[in-house]
Amino acid sequence: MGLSWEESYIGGQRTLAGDDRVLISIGAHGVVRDPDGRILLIQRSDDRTWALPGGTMELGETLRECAIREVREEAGLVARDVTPFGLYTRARDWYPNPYGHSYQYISLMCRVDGYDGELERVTDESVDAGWFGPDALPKGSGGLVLRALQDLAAFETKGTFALD
Amino acid sequence: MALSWDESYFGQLRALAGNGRTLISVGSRCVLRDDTGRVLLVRRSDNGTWALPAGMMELGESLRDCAVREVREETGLEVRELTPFAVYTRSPERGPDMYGHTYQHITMTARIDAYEGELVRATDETTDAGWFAPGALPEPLREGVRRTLTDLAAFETAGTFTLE
Repeated sequence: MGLSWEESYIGGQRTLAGDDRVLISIGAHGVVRDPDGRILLIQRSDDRTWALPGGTMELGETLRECAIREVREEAGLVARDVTPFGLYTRARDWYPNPYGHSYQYISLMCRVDGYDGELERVTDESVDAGWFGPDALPKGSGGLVLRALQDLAAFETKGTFALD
Repeated sequence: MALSWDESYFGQLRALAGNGRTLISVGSRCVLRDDTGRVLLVRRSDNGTWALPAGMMELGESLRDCAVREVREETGLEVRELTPFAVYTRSPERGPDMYGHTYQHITMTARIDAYEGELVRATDETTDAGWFAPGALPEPLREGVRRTLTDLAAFETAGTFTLE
């Protein structure tokens, strides 16, 4: 069970800043693969897109801890370790979310290296979850998914860390 | 000419949040070296310590842009290529800064692989700058400089990307 919006760091920032200001949001995403190389995606409850597990950092946790927590909260899986392969800044990639709020989303992209537990297909933040081949992603997958898979491939073949 | 604190994203966030709240900041830090392996440090005008060129990100720029801008503002040098080797995200053990404000700094840290221009030794934010051998760093040295150089050495010898 995650913190409520009002209890979260970014929720507190939004309350201070009001509805109209663009805020910088900092968080992490996890790319989890099964033994067949399929990618874990969750269908988000807020906008129904298929997405990588991920979310916003809380005060006092590290981005590594954030990546692990988000995978646990949104998929029930406990990551053993993570390897960062990109840091996305998404400058000017602003659009109002379903609440009318805009953010510059900064996210540390992490490969999940081993996990324990069983996939939970429904959580507080997701309505479905599943494993998908990189060439058979579900309709409604967010653009971040494709970009992350390309950058992870570059990281694994050439050692390139994706920074923008 | 850099933005003033009052104009900057984190300055505005601080004004909204008040002095007592811990804020999460995001920014970049850079390691530049000369042909003999000496490291570029600047002497900060705000607290007199010798530090790596660094600073907080502005809304609408990328962390790469932020790294390039901070090096330009604090040294006059123009970055052409960089390689990230660490992301520091842990809450500081130390307390408030000289203004009484506390932050959890998220810092993308990069090695500068190519730069142009002539070093400017005094800027709006610095009173001196110079190249120092890693074994002969000046005092007072800003917290984190030695740790950053140790992590860069690990990256260059073992390929280890630091995340903490």
